[in-house]
Amino acid sequence: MGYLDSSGRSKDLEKGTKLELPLWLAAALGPRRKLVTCHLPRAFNERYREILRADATIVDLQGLAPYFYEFGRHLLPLVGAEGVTLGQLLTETLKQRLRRVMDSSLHCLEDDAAVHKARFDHLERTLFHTGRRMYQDHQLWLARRCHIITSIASTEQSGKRKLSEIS
Amino acid sequence: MLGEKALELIKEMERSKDGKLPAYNDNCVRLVLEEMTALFQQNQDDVNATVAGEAQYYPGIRLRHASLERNKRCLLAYLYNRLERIRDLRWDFGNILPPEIRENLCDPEIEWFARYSKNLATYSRSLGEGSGLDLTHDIKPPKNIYVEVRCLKDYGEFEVEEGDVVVLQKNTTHYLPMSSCQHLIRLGVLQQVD
Repeated sequence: MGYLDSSGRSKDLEKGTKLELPLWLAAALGPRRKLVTCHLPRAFNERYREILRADATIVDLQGLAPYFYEFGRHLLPLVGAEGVTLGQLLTETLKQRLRRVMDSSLHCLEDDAAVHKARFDHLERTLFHTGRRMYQDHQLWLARRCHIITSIASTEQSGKRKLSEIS
Repeated sequence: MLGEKALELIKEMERSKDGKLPAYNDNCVRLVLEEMTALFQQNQDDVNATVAGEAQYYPGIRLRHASLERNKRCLLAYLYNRLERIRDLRWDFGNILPPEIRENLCDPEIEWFARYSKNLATYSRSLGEGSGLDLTHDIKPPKNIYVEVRCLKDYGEFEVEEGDVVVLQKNTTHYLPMSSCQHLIRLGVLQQVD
């Protein structure tokens, strides 16, 4: 398995070598097969755990780990005893941040949306978009306009002039 | 690195989630399949070289097997997600796809689309006590039988269900039966005015 470590020259991996593996590979070699043991990646180490525990609402999750919750969830079975603290961390983080996500999805203006969601991870973005869509649908319904048919999103883009049509 | 090409396919689907269906990435799929064949061959060689009870090659085999399964999963996810998007196209565009979308499908996908289209049509015909009911029609409950529409592009002559012919020119408004112009509104030729 020496080719996993690009800096090493030997054909086989030495016992005790530390290297970064993709999650799927670690999951296949890790818990049941006992070929590797896993440590938590950077976004979940003690230092970031402290920061998230202090105030999770201001952390830039997009920069830290774009799929924070999902990634964390898949890590749970790999890390053994640390799994308990990790699980608590994930739920606590979501609990603290959810209020902010919901608030901004229902009340921010169209132009501000990008600024608001810049710090959200993937799960929070999905929630944000769902919230916005529901709000817009509700507004349409209140204005008695929900029976109006609109064109499909993909045709709007194909309506742009193509290069061949201009010349 | 193992499985990199397969991840590229997944990323491509993720990036294009809100836009147009990207062209079938024949090249990338072939590369993934080649990688898989090579991995399988290596595994086969190692298994043949292993004497019973010996565990020397075991970690390597395990690793390659994991990569094989990962690649397989990514490929299937790619294909399945494309199928789901193609299925949605049937509901949006009807049984004839615009050429600029059609050119992004590969041959088996076009065949699948035709078959799905036929299945849906057969089912639609069997509804409503023999008279048939087009399920893709009236996705939102209509309020009026006639609606006022504005024309967004030149379309040419258009025959309404009763047999009248109207000429749809850009920036003209018409008063048309909902049932016959619905499709054109969905395609962005007409816009509903209230």
